[in-house]
Amino acid sequence: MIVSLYYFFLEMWGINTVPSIISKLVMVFFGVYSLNYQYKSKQFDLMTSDYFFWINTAILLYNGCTMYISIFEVFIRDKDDLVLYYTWPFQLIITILFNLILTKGIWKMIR
Amino acid sequence: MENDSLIILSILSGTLFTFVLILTIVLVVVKYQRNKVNNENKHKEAIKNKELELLKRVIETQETEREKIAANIHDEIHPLLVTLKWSLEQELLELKKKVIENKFVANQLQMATTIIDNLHTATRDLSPRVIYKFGLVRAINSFLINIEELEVNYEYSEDKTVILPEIVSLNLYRIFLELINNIRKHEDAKSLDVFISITQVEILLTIKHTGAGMSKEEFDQYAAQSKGIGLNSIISRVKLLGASLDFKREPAPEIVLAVPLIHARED
Repeated sequence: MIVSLYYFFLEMWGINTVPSIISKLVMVFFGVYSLNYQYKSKQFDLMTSDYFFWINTAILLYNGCTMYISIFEVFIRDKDDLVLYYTWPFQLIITILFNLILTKGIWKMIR
Repeated sequence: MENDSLIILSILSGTLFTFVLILTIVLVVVKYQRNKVNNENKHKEAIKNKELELLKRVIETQETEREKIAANIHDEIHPLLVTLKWSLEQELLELKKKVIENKFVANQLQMATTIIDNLHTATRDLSPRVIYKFGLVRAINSFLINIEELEVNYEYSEDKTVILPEIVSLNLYRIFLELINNIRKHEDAKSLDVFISITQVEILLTIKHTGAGMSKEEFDQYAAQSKGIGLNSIISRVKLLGASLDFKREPAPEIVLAVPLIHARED
């Protein structure tokens, strides 16, 4: 929520990809850290049975993959539609995957 | 334009690479965690099985003890009591006829003494009360006094300030009984030297005898093969006390049991 609000206000005053990349890096770091923490803490249950694993994986996958696109965001926006034509499906696939995994996590949480 | 294509290619390949990398990391972590959990669960299962096995052995030991006591009462005390009753009935008849003989009374007295002795053995097997009343040293002494077929020499050194936990005394006494019974049954010994030393830090029980004896390796081998209650009872109790049991054949057959007391007190 905080990150979303931050992006919203940031976009109001122009494009600056640096904070976005840094925030994605931080998210990836915490994603890997949580994965490691889960690996160590789960003694007798599979980590895939925990809802947090799925939410964490979704965040990790989304932020890790879109980070590369974020680095070239200015370039993609400046160039013609051809660049967007090639990169957009990737972004779309990652978003769909993110939503699917996140849905599984939420479903496991409320079940 | 060529530069643009190169950048597009690098974006796509970079994104794809990151995607594959993250997916691989997640899958590898999941796989390793699955293996770890499986191993932990197997270990847990093994411990559970071991506990069940131990519980089974405890119950079996209890049942055997009960059977032994029941057999003692049924085979030794019951026939004697029946005979005594029959004898008293006979005497009653003769008392009515007023022709009672001294030898009948002497027989009955002998029988009553045997019954008391048998009852004493049975109750000692059931619960060695002498331990609770007089302590380990005197309980061992009381047991050794009743051994007639062996020449027994008993010595002890006791720190009077040491108060032994009941669990230690009882288990050590049971181990001692089992060891002596094994010597009596299998060793063909003529004499027995028992020495017990109780200090602040440990109890050291040394049993020397003139039988064939056995080495520690032989004992471990017997214990591993044995399905009998005696050896298993010794091993379980030694483990429970955190003690060490050593067997020596040279220069003379010897059994040394060392029980650390600091460990027992901490428990």
